[in-house]
Amino acid sequence: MEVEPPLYPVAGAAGPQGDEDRHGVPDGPEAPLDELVGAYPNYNEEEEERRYYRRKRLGVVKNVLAASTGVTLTYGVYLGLLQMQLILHYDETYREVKYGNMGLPDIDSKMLMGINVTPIAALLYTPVLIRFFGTKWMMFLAVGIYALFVSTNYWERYYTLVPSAVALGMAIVPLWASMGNYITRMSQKYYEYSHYKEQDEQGPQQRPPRGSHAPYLLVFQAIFYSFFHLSFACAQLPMIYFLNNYLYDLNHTLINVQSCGTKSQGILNGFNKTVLRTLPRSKNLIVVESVLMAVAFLAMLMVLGLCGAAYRPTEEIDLRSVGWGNIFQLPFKHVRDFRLRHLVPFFIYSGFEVLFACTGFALGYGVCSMGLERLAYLLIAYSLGASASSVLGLLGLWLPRSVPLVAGAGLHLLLTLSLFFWAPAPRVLQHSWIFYFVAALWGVGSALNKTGLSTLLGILYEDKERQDFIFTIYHWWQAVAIFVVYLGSSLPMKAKLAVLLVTLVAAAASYLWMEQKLQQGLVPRQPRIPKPQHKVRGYRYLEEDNSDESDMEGEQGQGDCAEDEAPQAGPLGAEPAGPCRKPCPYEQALGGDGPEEQ
Amino acid sequence: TSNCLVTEGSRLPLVSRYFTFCRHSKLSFLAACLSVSNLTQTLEVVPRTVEGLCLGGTVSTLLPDAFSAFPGLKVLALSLHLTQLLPGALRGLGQLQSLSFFDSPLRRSLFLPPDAFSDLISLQRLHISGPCLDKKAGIRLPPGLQWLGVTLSCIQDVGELAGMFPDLVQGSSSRVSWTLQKLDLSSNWKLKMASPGSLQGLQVEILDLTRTPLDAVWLKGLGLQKLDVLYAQTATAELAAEAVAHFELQGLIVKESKIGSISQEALASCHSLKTLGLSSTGLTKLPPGFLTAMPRLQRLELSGNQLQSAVLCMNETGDVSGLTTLDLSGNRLRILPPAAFSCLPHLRELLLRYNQLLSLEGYLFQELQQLETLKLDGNPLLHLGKNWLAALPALTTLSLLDTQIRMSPEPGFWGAKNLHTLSLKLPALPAPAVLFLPMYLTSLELHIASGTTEHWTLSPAIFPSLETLTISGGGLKLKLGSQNASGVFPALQKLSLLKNSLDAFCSQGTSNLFLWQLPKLQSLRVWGAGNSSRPCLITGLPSLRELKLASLQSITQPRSVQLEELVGDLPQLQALVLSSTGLKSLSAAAFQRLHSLQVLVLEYEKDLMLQDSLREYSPQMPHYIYILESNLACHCANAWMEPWVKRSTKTYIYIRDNRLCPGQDRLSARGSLPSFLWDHCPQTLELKLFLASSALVFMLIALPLLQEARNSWIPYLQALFRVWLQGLRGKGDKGKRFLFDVFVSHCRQDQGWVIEELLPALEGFLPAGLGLRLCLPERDFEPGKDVVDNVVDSMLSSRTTLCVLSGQALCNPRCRLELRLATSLLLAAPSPPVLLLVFLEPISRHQLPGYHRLARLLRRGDYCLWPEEEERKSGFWTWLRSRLG
Repeated sequence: MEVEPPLYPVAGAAGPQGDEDRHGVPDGPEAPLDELVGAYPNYNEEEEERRYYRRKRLGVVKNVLAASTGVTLTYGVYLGLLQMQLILHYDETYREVKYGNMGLPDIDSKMLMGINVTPIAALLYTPVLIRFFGTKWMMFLAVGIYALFVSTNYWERYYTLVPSAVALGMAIVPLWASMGNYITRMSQKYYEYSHYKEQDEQGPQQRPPRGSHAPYLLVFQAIFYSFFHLSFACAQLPMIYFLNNYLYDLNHTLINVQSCGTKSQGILNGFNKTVLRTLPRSKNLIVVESVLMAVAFLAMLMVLGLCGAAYRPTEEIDLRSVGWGNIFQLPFKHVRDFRLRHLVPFFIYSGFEVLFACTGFALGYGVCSMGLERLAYLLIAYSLGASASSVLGLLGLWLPRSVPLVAGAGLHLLLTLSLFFWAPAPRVLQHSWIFYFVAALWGVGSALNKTGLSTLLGILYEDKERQDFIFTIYHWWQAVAIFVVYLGSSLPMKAKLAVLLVTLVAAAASYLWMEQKLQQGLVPRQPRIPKPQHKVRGYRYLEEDNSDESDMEGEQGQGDCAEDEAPQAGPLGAEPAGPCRKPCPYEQALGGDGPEEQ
Repeated sequence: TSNCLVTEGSRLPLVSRYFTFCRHSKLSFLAACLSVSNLTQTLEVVPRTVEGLCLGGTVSTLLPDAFSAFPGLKVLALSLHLTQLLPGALRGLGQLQSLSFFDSPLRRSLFLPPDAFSDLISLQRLHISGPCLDKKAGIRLPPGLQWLGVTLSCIQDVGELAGMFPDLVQGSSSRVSWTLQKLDLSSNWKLKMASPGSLQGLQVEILDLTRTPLDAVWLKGLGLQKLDVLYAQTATAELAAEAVAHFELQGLIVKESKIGSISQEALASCHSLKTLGLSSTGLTKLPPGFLTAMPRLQRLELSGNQLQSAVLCMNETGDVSGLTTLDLSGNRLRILPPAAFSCLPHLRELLLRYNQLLSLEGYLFQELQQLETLKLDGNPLLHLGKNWLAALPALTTLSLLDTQIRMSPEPGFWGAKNLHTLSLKLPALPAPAVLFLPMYLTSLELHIASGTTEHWTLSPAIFPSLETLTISGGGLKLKLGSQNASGVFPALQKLSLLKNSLDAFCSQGTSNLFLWQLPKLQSLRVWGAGNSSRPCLITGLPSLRELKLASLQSITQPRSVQLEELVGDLPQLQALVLSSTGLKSLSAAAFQRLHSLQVLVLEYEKDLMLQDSLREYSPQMPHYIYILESNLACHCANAWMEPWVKRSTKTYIYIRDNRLCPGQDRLSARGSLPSFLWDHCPQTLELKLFLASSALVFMLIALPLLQEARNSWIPYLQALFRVWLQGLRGKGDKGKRFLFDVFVSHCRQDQGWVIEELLPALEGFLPAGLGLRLCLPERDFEPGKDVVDNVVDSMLSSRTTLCVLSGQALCNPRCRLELRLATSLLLAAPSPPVLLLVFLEPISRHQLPGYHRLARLLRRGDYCLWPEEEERKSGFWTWLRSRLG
């Protein structure tokens, strides 16, 4: 039976005349779309989709690079300024002339106290801040506080330096926690964008397989830490280009120094009270500080403009909708997880070793023997060594994840043991290459330690609902370690080395034990993340009560939400599991029910 | 700061060290400039009214009109290493009286044009010390010149003066003969000869040849018309006597020359002398008839010789000498013969200091009826006659320092009642511990041997006329009895406390106060010799004018003091001098109790800090502040000084300080403290940068917060602004046709109110109603159409949307939907309709959606509450009419 040609073109119905435009698009619901896009004969949806996701992936890489650069610049500026100011303020003449009876040493010690002690409280507020502002904005805020600290150094008074130091101390843990969270999150996104097809096949509601983002995480953390470790080198630029012109050489500054290295006690006992040959003019100081300030601004703008959000807005709303009380409690609840408990010594060691490299080794060994004018080069050696060997973190792509961590720990163990027996003579320059070599080697260990820990955390805790808690805990323990170093700065070098050694051995042993437990299949107990409760009255959610909600949504089951709430035992299990009917925020996010970021 | 020190003549003694070359306290206003290198620049800051000007530094050439800006200049001293004066350099100095050129005694020559002094018509005194003048300079001297000094120069012959100053010599000018009061040729160590006749006709009253190798004998041939007094150094008695005889000299002063003994012949030719000075000439004995040979002699100085006996008076001859002053100090006199001074009835001043006199008896001074001054310092004086001073009725001044005198309580011990000036050393072993003193003293100087700690009781309990009191040495404790110091010394005007004596006058409690309350004291001088442990607060002296505190700082344990610890309430104090007191900082608080302070001098104070508060206090600051031989601390706290000193008009501040700061670049050209501080101290630029950068950072930090706000109220604000803007522009939808005037959104529960109250008022005809077309959902909705479509269409076709809200309405989903639709139309539509809200009952703003919560605050005109009371309902209708009309 012959079909009558239609009186009017029917959508999707192909005429027997055979349109040339048709590119084998099957009939059906796609047809109107075909008409719409018919104007572009070469339109290839797959190609477009591929391009789209490539753009997205590039965006993620850009985010990682921008965040790394921004944080590197900020930290470099901060360290450089702190180092320069501490050296300037150490000089008696400078203090006397410039600040007279203002009591600058007192202010400086208060400032250091502010920087070192305030982070102890960070565990209480960091998750709340991160959830309130969002990861990217928290990074930006913290970078801004670093810039504020740089700014207050223009006008050094009690009422500027101490408050800004306290603010800075408050911003340290949030910055690094949000930073670790951001990098981890970026690797997950990168995985999503590169495996969009599989995702489509699996359906939007499914989570990606466990550990799937790990390779990207390794790469991104390696990138981040190679940038981050460069900040120690950046911090030396003010020393090299400005302060070194004013410093006395080692024959003046070390004249009263008797013993170095393992025999020394405290920080640079007997170091000369005057280190400046001539006082720097305040105009020159203004220029240096302005350059630092400009870099800090640049870093701020970089984080502001180039770093995309870590989550979609809806995801962020979901993340903060679990209730502020829950957000406050969750870091503490995570102590139930034996993996974290086992990693705590490593967290502490991770704080110890950086500070030991920058103060214990650089001052107690390096400056004590080679003079203040070579401090900058020593730290640059450390920095470049660490930065270059952050790439070694990529070994985790092929080797078991414990290898880089344990290798770094072993290297540090060897170095620490040899430092025990090394007392370089003051004012002797013959063996200066040893110092640079040791510094660079220590840097290698540091890089392995840092990349290893961060990737390990990213792999162990994949779900974004708890990443910020985990990184908060990690950096909080680091802050505690830094505080301990600050307290014990006057100990003899042997005691410092012993503490370092004990912590290192304990950390490595505890970590290996944890890995063994995991291999035995021991399931860690993780606290349940409560479901988001939308109380937000943003225009995005015009309805205040979810009037669209029907009872149907409650029937999806509860297993999706608390994935790791494995053994429902203990007092937690007593509480009703709650109708976790709505899709998890994660699935909501994947559903794409909000405007895309970027 | 400028390198010129300016002072008033009356204050000159305070800073006299800087005016050594022009110390004329008669002048009213003086300036001294040191380290001058650019004269015009230096003189710019010197007030035009100065009368004395001292310049030191290095300026080789004096340009024309160098000082013409100072027409009132009377004294000018130049220590500038000058090599030449250009013609007219001293032009315009018609009032100049004294002119001096000083230079280090090198072989530097000074070129003076012949008419260099032609404008100086009032010049009386010319002194050229150091530079060598051209022997043939031919310089014209001003006619009034009385005093000419050419010292330390390279003249070898007195006759060279004639070539330099031809006016001096008779015949070269119309003048008959030049009369000089003094011709000073001292210290010319090459001056050995005098060409005969070279100063023909010159009349000189005093010729000074001390410290020159010129023999007095050469003078005879010079041709001087007159010479009265000669100061000579190289002279034997004979040669000097020849000159005396030749010129019939009235005075001959020979110093530090080896004369040894005087022969009778030489003595014979000295009969014209009125003054004879033979100090330190090595005399061992005087020739017999020494005084009789010089009948006119009035003043005889024999100090510093080796005389063992003073046999001036011959007992056998009854001759009487007219001598009024006799100085025998520094000889080896042990015992004075009874008639030693018997031939000197006119003697007024007898100086016997630093001999070895052991005992003095009253008869020794038998003839000295007119003696007024007797100085016996430095003699052991172990034995004094009972009435040893009884023979001296006119004695007023007695000096007994450095003696071991034992005072006796007898009334005649101090002789006549005329004694009013007494200098005395208290013995180390005070047996009586009572100090017997003449009652009517006006001036008393007490020296205390070190180690004395006894309390002394004053014997007359009151000294009614004592005006000057000097106490030297620590440990003196005066028992003043029941009276305070003002009762004992009611007239005391001048008090000097030397060598740690201050401690004894200070209360030793927690507050170190100066104990003596002396209402008439005008001047107090304290010199502490550098081992006082605590500062003593000088306070409670209502008429003190001048206070000098020196060497109060302990050398072994230096401590810093504040001015407030040193000086208390001294309302009349005019001049305050602090020297090595350990003063560290100066603040305005110190000056608040010194209302009349005019001059403040700080000397030898190290690392001074001038507090910022002085700047605010500057109207009450002293007129002159001198900071001499002290240095300001190299602290940024002093950085404010420099601009302030430059600007301040009322206070003159002079700081003399050449110290380099620690850490200062020695190679830098600008080495002074102000420039160093300017370079190294925080400036306002840093504050500005701090404020600017932190403001910027704060703004950026605020972005995360704004980011939060972006989600909530910023779009609402946008919408509100847009609505407000459209309200301003007027109704833009005039041309549009509306099906209805008002769309009334209400819930079923409020329908009664709508039907009974609203409908009649709006739909009813004038005057009761407005005659509007209302769209009520129940009545006007299109049947069969979707409710939501109906609502939207009705809203779009109504001029105004009126939402009737109540608690129930807010709970009703449909009502809420209508409200939300109206709101989103308002937010999204290009020309939003007017949205009015009527609350039938008070509703908390927290129950409202976000937009209305904000709008209710900002657009009050669109929100109205239906009042319960009848009388206020008319107001509601008025509002509704105005909004709908």
